Amino acid sequence: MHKWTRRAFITSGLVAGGGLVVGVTMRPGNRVEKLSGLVSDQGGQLVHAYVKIDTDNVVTALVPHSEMGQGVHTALGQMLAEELDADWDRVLVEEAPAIGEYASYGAGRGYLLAGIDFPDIAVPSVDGMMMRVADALDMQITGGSMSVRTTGVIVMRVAGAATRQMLRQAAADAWSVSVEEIITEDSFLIHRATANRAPYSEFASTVAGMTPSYTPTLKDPSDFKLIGRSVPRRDIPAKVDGSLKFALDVRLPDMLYATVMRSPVFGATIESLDDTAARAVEGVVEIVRIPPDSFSSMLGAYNTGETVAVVADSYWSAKKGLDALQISWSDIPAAAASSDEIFAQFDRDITARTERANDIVQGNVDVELSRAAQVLEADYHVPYLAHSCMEPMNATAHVSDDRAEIWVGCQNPLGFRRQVAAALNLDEENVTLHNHSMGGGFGRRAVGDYAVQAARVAQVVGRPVQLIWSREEDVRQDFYRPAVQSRFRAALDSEGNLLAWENTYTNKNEPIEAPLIPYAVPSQDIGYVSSPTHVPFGAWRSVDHSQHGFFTESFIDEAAHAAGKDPFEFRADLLRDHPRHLAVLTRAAEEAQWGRPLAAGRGRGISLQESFGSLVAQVVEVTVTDGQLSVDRVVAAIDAGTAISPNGISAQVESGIIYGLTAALHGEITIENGAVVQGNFDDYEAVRMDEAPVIETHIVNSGYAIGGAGEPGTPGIAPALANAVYDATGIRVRQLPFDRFNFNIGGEESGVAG
Amino acid sequence: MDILTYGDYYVSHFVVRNATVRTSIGSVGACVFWASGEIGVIVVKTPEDWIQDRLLENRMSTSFWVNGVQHTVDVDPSKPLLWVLREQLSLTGTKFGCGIAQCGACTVHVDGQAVRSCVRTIASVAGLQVTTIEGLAPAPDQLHPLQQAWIDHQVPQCGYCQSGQLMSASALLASNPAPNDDEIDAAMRGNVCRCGMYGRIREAIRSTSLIADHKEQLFVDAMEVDHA
Repeated sequence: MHKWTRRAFITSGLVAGGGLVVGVTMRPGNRVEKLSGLVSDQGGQLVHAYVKIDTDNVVTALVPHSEMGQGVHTALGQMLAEELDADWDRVLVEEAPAIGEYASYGAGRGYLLAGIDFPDIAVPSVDGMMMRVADALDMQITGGSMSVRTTGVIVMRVAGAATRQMLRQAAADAWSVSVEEIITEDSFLIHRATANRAPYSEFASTVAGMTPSYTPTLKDPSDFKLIGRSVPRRDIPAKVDGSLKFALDVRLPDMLYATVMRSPVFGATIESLDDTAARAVEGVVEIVRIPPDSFSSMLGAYNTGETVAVVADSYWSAKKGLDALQISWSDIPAAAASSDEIFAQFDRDITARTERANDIVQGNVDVELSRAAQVLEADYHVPYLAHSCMEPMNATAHVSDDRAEIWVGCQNPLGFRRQVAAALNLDEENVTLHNHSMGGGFGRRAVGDYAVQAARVAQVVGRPVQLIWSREEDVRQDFYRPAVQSRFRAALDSEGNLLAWENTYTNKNEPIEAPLIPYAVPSQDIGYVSSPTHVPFGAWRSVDHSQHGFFTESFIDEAAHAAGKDPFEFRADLLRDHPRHLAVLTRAAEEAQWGRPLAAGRGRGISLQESFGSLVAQVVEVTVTDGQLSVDRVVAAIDAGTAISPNGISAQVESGIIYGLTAALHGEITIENGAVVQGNFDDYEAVRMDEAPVIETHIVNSGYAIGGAGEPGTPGIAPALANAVYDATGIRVRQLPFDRFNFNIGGEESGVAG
Repeated sequence: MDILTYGDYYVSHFVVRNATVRTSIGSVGACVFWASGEIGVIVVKTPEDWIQDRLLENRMSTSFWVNGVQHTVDVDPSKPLLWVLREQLSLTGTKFGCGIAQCGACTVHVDGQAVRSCVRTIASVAGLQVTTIEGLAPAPDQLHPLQQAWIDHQVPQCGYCQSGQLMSASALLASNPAPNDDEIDAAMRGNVCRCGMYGRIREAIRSTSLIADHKEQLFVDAMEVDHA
């Protein structure tokens, strides 16, 4: 019906022939023998690629995803244990090793080889995962809010059900009874008629030799006992007593420490380096120059500049050494770049519409605009953003002649392993990667530059090296949420009906559907122009939704006010063909008591955003007094299909909202002389407790396909906030962050770009 | 004849090289004297500063207490406590976040006060009692009430900031067992949580504070009144 440009597919050239290989799937056949030596030997007998059972009847779920705070190990463990009928109190969760067998997507090839139809669930996931298929093979990605809805659905539930089926068969054979008569309960096999009862562990070795089914019978959701229960997260106890080991906490014998500085202007090299003073710093062992690196990943290619590392007996000494270096960097054209010029370029390119490409074209926007009773026009802007994970980038490496070991926290262990192997000129099999829980990921830890740096430095010094970035390096050498400009026009008729929606923005990334709107607007023309900059792009929590959510949900609010209609009612009317969207929007409005009058100086705003397979509506309440903006309360409703762990989803929504609120209120990376200006939490500020609103999350279990949770909370907070501020003050904020506004002087933006 | 003004650090070196008045200099706020035909203007602010400078000049061992155990380390006296804990003592529960006392991930207690260990020199804690997250619980097999509340409220996500959050919260409750929300905000605003778990942290602190007990008590009283 709609004309969609599936740019991601077309550019990768993989649509032809329908050979789409996606989805977290399992390889056919019995993989146990091959994997037994590669999976940790703690936790008993491997009975299935994803399940171990030990002699004490403890079941271990092998989860091929990284934990960065999202609770994925617990949720995926729940899904496996549900289908396995395992005793949750005796289930452990272990991260699968960084080996090809546990690749998120490579295993999909097995599906094709086995001639099994590709599951429908995995197809829409391509959009959300912002994947080019070719790049996705042999990765082990945690991102795109994908783990539960793909690995959970296609791997963990299937693995649990298949293992349960094999256990029942093994027991039936041993007891000479019909397999249909064997029931399972809390990790026990039971045959009532003969009063046989045995723990799963009794048949573990038998099952290990059996071939699991790829199409086992899954439970009916009405029989779920664990899925849907807010079980306590398994990782939390070790996070309250300091015992959890992050990558930064790795301690190896004879280990040195290093810290780095990469060319502040992206892509520059070292012209001259005087390290006399640095070498004189007590404890400094070595100064290592790391050549410029190029990375190619699912999110594009990067050329990082040259880097210098100081290696010492302590991070402190290394940092003092780094500060004592006299470096002059090569003068490259990018050194003239500035945020002001970048936004001016965006404005020129949007106006010129050079090679404008379409996301969707329907109806006739030009005709509607020409005969409209009212035409609205607006330009929106967002700045670059850094991720600023709490744990600064770090990796520990030990490299010998033909082997390397890397200790790191990352969102793509297989991809990192490949990058390290390539940098060291080693075979991938000779690189062992130990992945750790991450002190935040948000997309930053999907890029392996920091692991490669550690490997290169360790190779030079011949001892284990823990390479730690300063916070300043972390902020200045990120892969950034792009700066974006988005221009809108809308046509309204004399009754306030929204007839046309025109939108042109700069630089499309992923997910491709991010700029689309769910509203019934007959004529639409949404498209983009390319306006490249030298600032490296990165996937930042919710990726393109982080800006388009702000743009589209603010502009629809402008349309509502221009039509003289209530912003909730206006949206609801345009969602008449989208009952699922309408239900979520209505739930948030009801829970927030949308119609309740507010005192002077207070305001309320609403937003709706579909992303990563989930729907989130938010109502924000603010107070603006004496020019001071206070975000009082956020009421969110989320429909993620089925909530595996409701409290886990609530936590993710709260987290996504605060992450987006930081960006909305404070987040701004500016470029001057080609380099990032900000450097630490004093000038790249985060929301703190005294700014944090009360957040209420309401979960709608619609029963639709399971959606993501990690990212969908983020896009809707900025527009709901902007709409609330408009309600309170009459000031329309079209450029983030809010820090740029002075609500005391009539809301004039300071330093408006473009 | 030139009059040279030095910063206190370099001047103190100067003094030591040119005079034998170490003990008296430390207690003198400022002093002018002849040396090599020049006039030096010496500003030594406090005895502690003077001791710090001696430590910097003469690398020496520092003794201090961590979680009840005495440690002596032989490191650069200007090295921050954070890195001594993590590197010399392998107490890695205290985290590095910013290095400039802006994020609170490195918060520990020094003589019961919450401090940012990334900017406290090891010399400055000589002889003092340091408590880290590893020593927050009253006994190895027990949890501090706040740690239990953190679990009950499912506070951590990535968990990286939580050592610092717990150390700030425990210092708050130790000095103010019944903080109001503004006092909680004020005590906790130095601790950044990028996962944004502020609401849960606030609830966990409230539930552990005496306010929580009072509230429950008030609730019981009200029920009794209703019955009457």
